[in-house]
Amino acid sequence: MSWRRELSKLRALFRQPKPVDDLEEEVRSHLELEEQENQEAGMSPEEAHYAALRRFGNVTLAQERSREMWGWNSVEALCQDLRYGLRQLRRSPGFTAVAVITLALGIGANTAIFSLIDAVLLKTLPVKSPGELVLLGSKNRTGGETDYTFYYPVYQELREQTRSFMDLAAFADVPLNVRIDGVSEPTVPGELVSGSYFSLLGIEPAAGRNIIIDDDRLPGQHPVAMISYGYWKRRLALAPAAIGKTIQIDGTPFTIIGVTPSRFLGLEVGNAPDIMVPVMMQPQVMPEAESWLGRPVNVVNWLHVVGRLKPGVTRVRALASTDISYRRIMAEEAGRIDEDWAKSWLNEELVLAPGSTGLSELGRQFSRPLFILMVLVGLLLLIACTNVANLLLARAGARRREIAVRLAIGAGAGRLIRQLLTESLLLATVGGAGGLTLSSWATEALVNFMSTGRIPIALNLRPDSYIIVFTLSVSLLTVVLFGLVPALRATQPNLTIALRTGANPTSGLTSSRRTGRVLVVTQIAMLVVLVVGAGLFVRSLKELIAQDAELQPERVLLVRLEPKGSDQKRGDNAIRLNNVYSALQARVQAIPGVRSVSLAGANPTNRLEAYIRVRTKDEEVASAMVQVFPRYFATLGIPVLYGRDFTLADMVPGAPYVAVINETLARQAFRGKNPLGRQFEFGRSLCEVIGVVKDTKYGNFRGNAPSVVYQPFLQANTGRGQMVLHVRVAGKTERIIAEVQREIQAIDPNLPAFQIETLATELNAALANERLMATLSTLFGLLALALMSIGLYGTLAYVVTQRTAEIGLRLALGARRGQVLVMTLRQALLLAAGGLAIGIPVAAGASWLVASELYEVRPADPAVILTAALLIVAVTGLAGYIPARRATKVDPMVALRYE
Amino acid sequence: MPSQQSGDRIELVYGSLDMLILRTLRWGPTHGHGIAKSIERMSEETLKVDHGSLYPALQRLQQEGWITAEWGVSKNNQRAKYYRLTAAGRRQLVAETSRWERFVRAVTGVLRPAEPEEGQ
Repeated sequence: MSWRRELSKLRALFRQPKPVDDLEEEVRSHLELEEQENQEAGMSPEEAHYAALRRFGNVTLAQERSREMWGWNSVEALCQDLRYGLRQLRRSPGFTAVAVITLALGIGANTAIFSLIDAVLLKTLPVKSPGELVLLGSKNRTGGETDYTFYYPVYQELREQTRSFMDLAAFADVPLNVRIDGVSEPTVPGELVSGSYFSLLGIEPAAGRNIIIDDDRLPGQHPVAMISYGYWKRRLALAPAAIGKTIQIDGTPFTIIGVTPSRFLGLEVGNAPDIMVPVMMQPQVMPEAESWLGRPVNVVNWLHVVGRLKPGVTRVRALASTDISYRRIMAEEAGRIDEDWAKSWLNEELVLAPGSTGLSELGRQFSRPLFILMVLVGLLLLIACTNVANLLLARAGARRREIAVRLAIGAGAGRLIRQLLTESLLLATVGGAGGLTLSSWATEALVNFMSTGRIPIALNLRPDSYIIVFTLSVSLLTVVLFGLVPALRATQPNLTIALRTGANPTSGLTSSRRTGRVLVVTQIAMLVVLVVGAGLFVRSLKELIAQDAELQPERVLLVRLEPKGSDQKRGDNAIRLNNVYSALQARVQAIPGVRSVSLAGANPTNRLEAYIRVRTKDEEVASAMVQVFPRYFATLGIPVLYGRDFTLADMVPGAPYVAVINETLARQAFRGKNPLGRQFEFGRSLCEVIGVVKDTKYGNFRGNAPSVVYQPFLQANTGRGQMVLHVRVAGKTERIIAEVQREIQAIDPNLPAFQIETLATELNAALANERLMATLSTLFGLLALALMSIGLYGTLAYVVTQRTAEIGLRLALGARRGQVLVMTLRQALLLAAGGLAIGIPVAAGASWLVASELYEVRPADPAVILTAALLIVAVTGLAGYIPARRATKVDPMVALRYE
Repeated sequence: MPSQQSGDRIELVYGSLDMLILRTLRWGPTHGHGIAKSIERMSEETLKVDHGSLYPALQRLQQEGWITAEWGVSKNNQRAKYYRLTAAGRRQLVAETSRWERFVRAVTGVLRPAEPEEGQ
């Protein structure tokens, strides 16, 4: 029947007054009745009173037992502990503040990095049954990375042939030039979506209707658009009239038919489209490109494809059946193209990746750095915990007598440990709450940092259950980490010593001081790992920046030029373009302040693909090819090692085929023989090497330079006419930008030019990863250094206070103050030495794990480790100096009299 | 001193106090003091009850719903809390009593074996 008792207790918990609130009165009435009876039996009033009490037994105990009947002992004890803990923490605000701030920083940093990992890698898409979604990609069986894009006919065929998927949908991001009410908007991130997109994802529009299959049937015939909730709110003030409104996208009027829900940010993590239009409208919204809806002349894979598995079909089974279709399709497609390419197409196989978290380029780019950062902040948290543990130990020293008294009058050690852990729990809770607040803006700041130099990253950073659970568990973990040891330590003091007033305060505490020292040594060891890590990343970034510094990248402007039409390099068109570009080069060169101008088919920060084969007499090498105009090497600052640069004579139609190659290719293709004047064969032409230039990394910053063939624009065997204008200026770039734009307009008003940026900005964006690592690891290292010095200072200051009498005695016996200073400082430095002895080997070992993230600096680099060690010794010395100074100020008379 | 006089007093077997209280309340509602006195009287002073130990038991019985309590006035015009047996308490008393009797019979049987049965 005990459920009924529990029920009564529960009722009693909320009932005012409780059944036992009048217990005292009841007991009093009981005693009075007994007293009366006793008197009636002939006792004196006094005798009667005491007899009644004797008969009753222990009054307090009886009352307590009766009350216990109504309470959940543990719950009430917890409340009691909490109240007591709060009082204790309020009593020492300094300690509380330091502990809470330390924990908030530690937990906040962890939550911030975890939030990013969550947003970039873990968050599932806000769509119907995201677990059924699969992303399609393809891979060459001979190796290489998975490509998650296809071209339109392949997607169409796949969609028709598949039996494993309920449906397939395609999407591609595209920057859109939009005019609303005749006003030109800044470029809007847009998305081309197939008609099946929204129905496949199971997304209900926030307003209006979705783009459906019927909106995506015929090329150019469906001028409808959906906008994102964010855009609706930002740009159109959530006006219902927005539905049905007409906007211009690259000159074509589109009707807004619906709004996507606010929580839906597209399928690509970090890239949230604001305007969605049917895939069939691609030629309209990308007028500078050819139509990609058929088979583009220059095959471009541009569509991401997502599928929803049929119920009961696994990804593996779907892969088996879809791969067969894919290979059949590719074999057919290969028949339409050049033999050279066709071979590699037949080696293509399908890849199915889980799609529940969406497509994450960001994830691929940032996952390794984020995990390394997670480890670093983990270390930071450990350091923070040891710090608080040390503070608690010191405090336990101060509370030693209180605890001894409580133990002596019969408090159980278990109960006391619980009490002390409750205090720790309070600290961790407040610290965790602070950490959550800190992390929310720290995460925003991080995302801004990661976005520099490119389209802003739009991430869903709303804290979800993952983050809450993570922060909670981290906070609880900290309680165990920093609270348990001090609590265990504190509850086993030697009672007799602790209780004796005036006893030498140090005697009972040697063991807890030893614990404190162990903690400091551990802390310094972890600090070494953090600081060495930071040092390596900073050195690496410095090297990366330095390798381009002589180029003075802030003096180089890059302008992407994209002429319209697909047959850019067919027949007359190629010659026309060659003339346009040559004229542009001449006109920009004439602008005052311009040092050097050239054009090239590649951006210096983008990776090159080794897609051509260079054949010499004895070698066949894969190489990248870049089409250029004269003075390219001079403009970018690439030294010509042997031979010569191209001249205008090389650019005219019919000129003999010539090429400049880089060192790597020279080594690979000519085996160290002088390549000048030699010929090589690629495609169907023979080409003479006229020069060799120094290697350039082309975006592969930490790896080896690719092998590259440079060719004059007209001679390059590529269909693409897009070029990047490179302009090196003498002074400031701002003034020149406008003039360059004017010249481009003057030469061909229809030549779309994009994004005038300096090379420095592009390099910066390309190095986002490395900067993120360097900046954050430095930040965490500094934080940890600060925490460590506070902790060390606290420990030493405490030791000095404890040893006041001893120091006084030494001074009285004739020790010089300098000796006292050295004695105390030596302690600090010994701790540092211990920490370094453990930390350096660990750091050296751990650094090999991040070797792939480093550039031009070996893991375990001695200079970095030495710098870190010196830094730590210096900080330790500094943190130790203040307490040491205080030790020398001890007045022997006062100290001795105290004893 | 009570401790010296009570050489022949017996400590209560755990759990039996509940039954004794319920039994006492069979006669009608009374207060804690009355319950203590009546247990002592009925057991002819053999059972030793620390009056204080009654109160936790009274709380427990209230929780089980076997008794209820309310304030009243005693014979001598003093305020006292009166306990009253509920219907559930009455049923519980019957059950407890029969269980107790079986227990006593069993213990007695062990301690003082009846006539050897083989003789029959």
